Amino acid sequence: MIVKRGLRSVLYALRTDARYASTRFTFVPEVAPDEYGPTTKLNLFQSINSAMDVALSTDKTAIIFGEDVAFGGVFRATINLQEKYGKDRVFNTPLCEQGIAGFGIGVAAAGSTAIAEIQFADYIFPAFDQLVNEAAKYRYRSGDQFDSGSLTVRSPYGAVGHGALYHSQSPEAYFAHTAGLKVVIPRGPIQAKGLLLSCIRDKNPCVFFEPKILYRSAVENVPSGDYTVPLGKADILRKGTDVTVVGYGTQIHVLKEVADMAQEKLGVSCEVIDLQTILPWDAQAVCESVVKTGRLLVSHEAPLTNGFASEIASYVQKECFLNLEAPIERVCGWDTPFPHSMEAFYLPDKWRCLDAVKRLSKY
Amino acid sequence: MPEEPPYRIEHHSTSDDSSAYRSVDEVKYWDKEDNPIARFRRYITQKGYWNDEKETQWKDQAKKQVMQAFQRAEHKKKPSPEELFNDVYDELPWHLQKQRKEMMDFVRSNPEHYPLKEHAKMGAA
Repeated sequence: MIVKRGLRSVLYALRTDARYASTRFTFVPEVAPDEYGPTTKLNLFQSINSAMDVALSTDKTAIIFGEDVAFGGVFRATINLQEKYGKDRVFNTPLCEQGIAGFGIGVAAAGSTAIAEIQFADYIFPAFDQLVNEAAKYRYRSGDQFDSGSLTVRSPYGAVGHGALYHSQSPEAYFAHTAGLKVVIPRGPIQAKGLLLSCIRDKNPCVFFEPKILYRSAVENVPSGDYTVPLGKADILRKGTDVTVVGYGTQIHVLKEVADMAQEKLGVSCEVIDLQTILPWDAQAVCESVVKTGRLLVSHEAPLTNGFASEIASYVQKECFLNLEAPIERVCGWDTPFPHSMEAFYLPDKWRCLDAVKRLSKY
Repeated sequence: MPEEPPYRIEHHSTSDDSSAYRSVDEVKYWDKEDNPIARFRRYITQKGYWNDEKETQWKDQAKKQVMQAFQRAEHKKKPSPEELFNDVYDELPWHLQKQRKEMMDFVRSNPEHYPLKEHAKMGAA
């Protein structure tokens, strides 16, 4: 615990390293659909704050808890919510992730809506037993007499340029291996608000990973009101004919740039798909695209072996075998802990992804 | 066995404003009134083991040592990129050998995209 507190100082109230973000990817703001109503300019942590504001104002049983959330949390995602909703609805917990998850399960089982924050996804592992063995299995083992479906666990995740081993990890695959959980990762502020509200209102326990590099660097005109983005549904961000490119979270911004580069440098047209929900993932959208293109690249920051790209690749290989024109490519983090001074060599950057697109199109 | 539970006087980091969650008076109390380091200094001074002169001398020397270490470190290069794969296990398993080769081959063919100047030469080890 002492080690953990010390390391937190590295990123405490992280200020996004703009130079780092700008070399790794470019965040291009999207435009929200008109039906979502009037918008406000918000960055990612503000849009998440707005989602929780909506959740607490529309659901009197909803509560928020976690380490430091009372004064806004280290990334400011819960700022002003305690002032607005009171100390009995937004409150701090002890520094104990297992306790946070366990408490959340109890709150959810008792019929309230639990929104728990784990300060960094790197520190979610003490809560792993509660999430995997209790939250995920509660409905199944009680034959649907009880469930913890109104639990949502939010947690910042992913690379930031200087986070090293314990402030950079992408642990989505561990949770995607757990029947009963839903795992969701947004690519930007507009999607984040709608997806988080969907998670909070979904009748199954959800793990919501927030790409922390985007907290301040991603700014969009976010709808101010109440809207949801459906879970389990991918977003096709760019139509293309030659290569299907699949990712989620921060990596989507890398992949959009790869699609531009592929068009410019190789004359290859990429279809870019944001999975958004990792479990249950939108296999239909991916397969429909691969049937069309015959080529698939999947890319994520998490390590290669047993990363979620493995699941996508094997599923698509079976469903689209006769459509495939080239072996499916995975461009991922290497099978090492997340390195500090070696981050540039570890990440599945746009150059490695572009090289994979080249291999796919020339196979 | 003496027990000295520590209190953090400083902010948590340069980006932290700790006045958001604790009072300035509280910090002042631990800094001035009940600081184990200050108390220990008073104790050894009283015993005649320590004095202001020794303290100034020691502080100057410590500062110098730190600055020299900084300077030495700043002139040192970061490790060679392939060391990324070392110490995951006692020995490099086949899949990490394969990934290391893939990384090195790619970086060699695309050196302009990587901060190679900051690192020790690749493949020299």
